[in-house]
Amino acid sequence: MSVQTADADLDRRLWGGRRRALRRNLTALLFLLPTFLFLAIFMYQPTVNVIYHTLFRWDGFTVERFVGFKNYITMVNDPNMHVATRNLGWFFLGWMLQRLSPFLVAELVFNLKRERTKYWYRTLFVLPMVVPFLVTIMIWKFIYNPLPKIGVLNRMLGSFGLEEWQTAWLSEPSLVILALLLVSFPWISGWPFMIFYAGLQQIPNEVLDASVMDGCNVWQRMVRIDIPLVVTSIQLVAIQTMIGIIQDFAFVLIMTAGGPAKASLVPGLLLFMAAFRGDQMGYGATIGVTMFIAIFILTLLSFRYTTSPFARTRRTRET
Amino acid sequence: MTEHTVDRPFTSSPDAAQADLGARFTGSLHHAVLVFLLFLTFFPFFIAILTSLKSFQQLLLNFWLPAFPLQLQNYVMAWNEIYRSIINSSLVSLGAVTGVLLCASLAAYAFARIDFAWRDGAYYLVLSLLMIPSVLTLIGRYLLIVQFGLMNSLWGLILPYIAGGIAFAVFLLTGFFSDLPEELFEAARMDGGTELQMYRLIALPLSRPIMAIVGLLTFLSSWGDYVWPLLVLRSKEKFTLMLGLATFTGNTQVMFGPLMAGYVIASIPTAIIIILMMRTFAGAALVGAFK
Repeated sequence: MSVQTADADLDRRLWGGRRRALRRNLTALLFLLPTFLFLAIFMYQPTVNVIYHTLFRWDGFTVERFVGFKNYITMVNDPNMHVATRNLGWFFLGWMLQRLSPFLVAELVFNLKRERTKYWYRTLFVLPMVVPFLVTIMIWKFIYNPLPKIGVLNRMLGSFGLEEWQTAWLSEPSLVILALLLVSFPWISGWPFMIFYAGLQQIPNEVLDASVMDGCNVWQRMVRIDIPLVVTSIQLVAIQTMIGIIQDFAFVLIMTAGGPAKASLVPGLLLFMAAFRGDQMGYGATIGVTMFIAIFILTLLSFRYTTSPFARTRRTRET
Repeated sequence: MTEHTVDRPFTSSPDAAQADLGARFTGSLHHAVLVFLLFLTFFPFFIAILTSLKSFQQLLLNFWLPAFPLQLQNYVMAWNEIYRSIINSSLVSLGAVTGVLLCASLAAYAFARIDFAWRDGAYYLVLSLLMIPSVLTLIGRYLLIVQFGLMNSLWGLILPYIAGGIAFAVFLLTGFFSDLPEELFEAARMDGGTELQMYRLIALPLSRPIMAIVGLLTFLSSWGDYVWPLLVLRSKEKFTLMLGLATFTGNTQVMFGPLMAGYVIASIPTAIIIILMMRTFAGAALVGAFK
């Protein structure tokens, strides 16, 4: 028996011929079947259905009339959409700062000397995560309660003798966005903090020691060493935040329902209102598709922007 | 560093003393800032717990401090109001977690361990769903639920939650299963083990931590969801906890005590689960999974 046939024989025993391949494919198919069944019904079908129906005037059930790109044109000219987009811009800036600011706190904790103290601060800062987000928002609704004797904020102002500052925080068009952005101040507890901290922990000790030897002060170290080395964590948080901000509207729905008037309306909420409160499913779908495109483009852009510093740190790490 | 600490007792120059004082000052400032931030972080929750133990009169008279007698009946009242929705939420979350873990682990096993035709294509087909925001499919899913006659049914929540959680779960689990040592599977294959046996007896037992994380993420997202139950559920006895809390608010202005008691009760199940999972959670496991 030559070496080659022995090899082929071994090959056949290990991997089999065509019949083995067929069996492998069938097994894989069975393993994948439940997943693809779920995805086909509840993910792919609705996505395609929604994208297709942006071209229709559609109430979801009976009325269905082809209108071409009219929904998109309506959306571009819709004054509600203009307000919603402008509001989203403010929320975008505010929430981005909010989600990235825990980095500074992570630095503060990370720069403590004793491991035990670090551990306790870390645990305490993430502890409020056990409270469901919706409960946190509702507690903040209580904080903003307009009654001077009940709302925590108003009551606090009252006890400092600042009665004239007491107001209905969520019903004041000029204040509502600021009030919403301040919810869950100081914004530390949450997974961005955990991710930043874990990122800092992964910086090699030699690098930190070297920075001490070279007489780096804390600020220089943060800007020159820590931020470049945890840039992937920052990028991760930024992208997740961006996707979340653009599509989440439950928060605004619960706090103000877009009000007063339209002072805190966001596109997601406009979608919700159009589709489920106004029977304009086609128009709602159009807003949804636009949001999807926006998220897609922004994600691609942010990857492009952040790849170069990432690549640079990778190279310095290897050498 | 060690050199420095050994040195310190012998230094007597005013310069060094001043530096030491400065370090101690920045040290305490450091702690002061952190403690203040902790205080701000916990303040709303303190107030909520305090308020949950007060009657309306006590709240008006004494806002910032505990008031006696403690109004424990607030908790009884809140419990009566929301226990039904806690049961519903538990059923929904358990269903979603079971479904996601079962489907996703099977699929991930195939992607990671079976060499089949169009494997990459199928994998990217699943991963592409991570790009699709849930708000886009909201309308389509709603129409499906109406057509399937699942309106006002807990199944109308469970099935879409399973579908919505699978993509990310497959992504995490495939990565994990691919990292398992090939020798284990090789040995099993030699002994004539089928893929199903290898999945059940090798892959699953070795992946408990990651399964726990996937389960936890699914649990938390289904437990805390508000918009989807708002669309699907109609009658109060079907409400999930978040919906129950939201409607509890609407009852009357004066019920702040029971309302806050309800919030406290609503946080207990998630608190228990997260604290039980702390061991898996802590460390870089979760973060490693995200990367």
